[in-house]
Amino acid sequence: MSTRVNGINRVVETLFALLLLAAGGLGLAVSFGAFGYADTPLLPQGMRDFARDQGWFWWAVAGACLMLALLGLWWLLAQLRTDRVSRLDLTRDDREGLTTVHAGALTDAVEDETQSLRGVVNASAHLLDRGGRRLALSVDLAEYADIAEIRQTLEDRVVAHARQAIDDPELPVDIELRPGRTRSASRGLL
Amino acid sequence: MHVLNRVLATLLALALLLGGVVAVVEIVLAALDRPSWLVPHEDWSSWLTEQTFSSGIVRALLIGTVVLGLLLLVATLRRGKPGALRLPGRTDGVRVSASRRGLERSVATAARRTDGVRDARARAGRRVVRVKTRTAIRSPGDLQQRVTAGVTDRVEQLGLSGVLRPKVTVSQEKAR
Repeated sequence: MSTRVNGINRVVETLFALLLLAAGGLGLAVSFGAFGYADTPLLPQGMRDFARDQGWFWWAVAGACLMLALLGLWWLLAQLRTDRVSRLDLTRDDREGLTTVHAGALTDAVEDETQSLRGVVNASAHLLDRGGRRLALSVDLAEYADIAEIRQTLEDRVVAHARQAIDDPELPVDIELRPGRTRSASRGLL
Repeated sequence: MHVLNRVLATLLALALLLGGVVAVVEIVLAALDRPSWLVPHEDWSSWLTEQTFSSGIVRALLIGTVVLGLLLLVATLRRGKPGALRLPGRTDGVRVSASRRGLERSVATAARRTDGVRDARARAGRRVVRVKTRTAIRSPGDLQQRVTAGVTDRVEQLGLSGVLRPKVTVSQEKAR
């Protein structure tokens, strides 16, 4: 999931909620006579006449609805976005040529090395773009796993190898440990 | 909470898209003097003209709108339980966390390993992990302390000793 999309969702949903609250609250206030219009029709005849007499009115409404529909489409498509990166650009100087690495090459290597550790049931790695590239690694651990040892190996060896592979000693890494997976044995040895 | 927010966002986006498209189509059909497609807008506008703000059904709809807005606001702004708990850092540029569900599984297993425990369930929050255990022993004695020790060991192994505080309760199974 994209963290940016999560932020957008939160903001738009809050605006929707506030809009509903304001509309409902204001309507109830009118309904209970706060402004003295409790017995006026929801849609006054004057408003119907105005909409019928002004040729541009319904086209303006149609334009606004079209904008809302396009906004809805954009928002819907945004839900499908992720932060994942498929290629790594390692070019230092364009004049010397371009160097790109398929992100899968790096993440597969990280997954393989992680899964070779004793107590690791499964591993999943992804390269993300969150204000700069970062590596996300999820590690499923068996119940018998020595978590402290696995963590140390991940930080000292696996992360070091990943950073070395793409020549980025500062590459930020997020590791999520998931202890207590039920599969009884891992493939590898420490 | 991200999943709930995603579902809500998808539903709202779909409502915007479909509502907008239907409205545009209905306006174009009306402009061409063609019958309505999905929305009988003539009936709707007649109904709206007949209703006043003080009528019962309008008040019910307005109350429904307020309730819906409140529910949406709560669902959007509620923090909820964390998906993962951050472990104290060791290496520069490396953030390590433990998944909450994994942690709960692991802690519950640790509690179940204590002699005398029939069943155990764990629920982790941001600061406390609550472990509920059941025992068939009539006089549990120091069972709670032993379970707490096992759970504390497990939390320490995970590197969360300064982050999570275990709270263990032991309940006895009813005699059959």
